[in-house]
Amino acid sequence: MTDPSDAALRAIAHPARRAMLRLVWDTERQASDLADATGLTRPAASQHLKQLREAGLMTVRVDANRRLYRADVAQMAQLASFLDAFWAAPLQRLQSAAERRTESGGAS
Amino acid sequence: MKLVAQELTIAADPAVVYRLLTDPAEFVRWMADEAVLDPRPGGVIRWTHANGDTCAGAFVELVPDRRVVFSYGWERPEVGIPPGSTTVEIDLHPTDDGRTRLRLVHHGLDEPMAGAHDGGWRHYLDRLRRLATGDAPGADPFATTRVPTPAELRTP
Repeated sequence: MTDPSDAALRAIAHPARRAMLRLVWDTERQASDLADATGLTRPAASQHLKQLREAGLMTVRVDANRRLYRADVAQMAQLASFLDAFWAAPLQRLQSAAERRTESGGAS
Repeated sequence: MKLVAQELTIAADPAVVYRLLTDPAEFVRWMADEAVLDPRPGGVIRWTHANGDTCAGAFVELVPDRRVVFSYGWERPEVGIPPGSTTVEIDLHPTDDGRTRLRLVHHGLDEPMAGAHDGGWRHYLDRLRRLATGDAPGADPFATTRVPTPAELRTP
C-alpha cells in the first residue's frame, strides 16, 4: 500500500476541511457554497480549499461560467485504507499479547 | 494617477486570446472561480475569485480578435476602487509569425493600488498566456489572497 502524503494527512487534520470534504463527497459545489455551508468567510474557506486541492483530496472542474469542487474519492479511499492498516498492526499485537497472558494464566 | 501598462507575446492566434478574454467558460480557467461576461458595449463584466472578492464593470468597446475595453472596480468598499471606476484596455496584434502581441493598459489607479495591479496583471496575463498555448495554468495561488486595501499596502 502506498503511504498517503503528509499533505493529505495534514489536510484531514482540521474540522473545517473535513466538513468541506463531507459536503462534496458525492456532489459538486462552488467555493461560495462551501463557505456558506461551513459558516466560514470566503477568504478562510478558500485557504482550506487550496490545502485540500494541493493535498490531492479535492478536484475542480469548469462548468459553464464557474468552477466546481468535489472530493477525490479514490484519493480518500487510499487515505482510509492507510489509516485502517496503520491501526490494524498495533491492534493485532495487543490481541496477541493479551492472548499470551491469558494462556499463561495471567502471570508474567 | 499612474498608468499600469504591460506587453507580452503569446504563441497563439489573436482569435484564441480574444475568446479567453470574452467567453466566461474560458475566463474561469485563468482568472476567477465564477464569471458573468456579456461582451457587447454596456454589457456586464463581473468575476469572483475563490476568496469571495468580486470585480465588476461594463464592457466599453469590443473589436473581435483585436480589442477589448472594460470598466473595472471591486465590490468590497475597503479596496477603494469602486466598480466601474477605472478602465482596462487590451489590444491584440497578430505578429508576422502567427503569434499575438498583447498590450494591456489600466487607467485610473493611484499608488499604492497601481503597484498591486501591476503585479496582479502580470500574474493573470501569464496564466492567460499559458492557457492560450495549451499549458493548463492549474490552481491559482492568488485566488486565496484577498485584494489588498490601500491601508494594508501602506502598512510595512
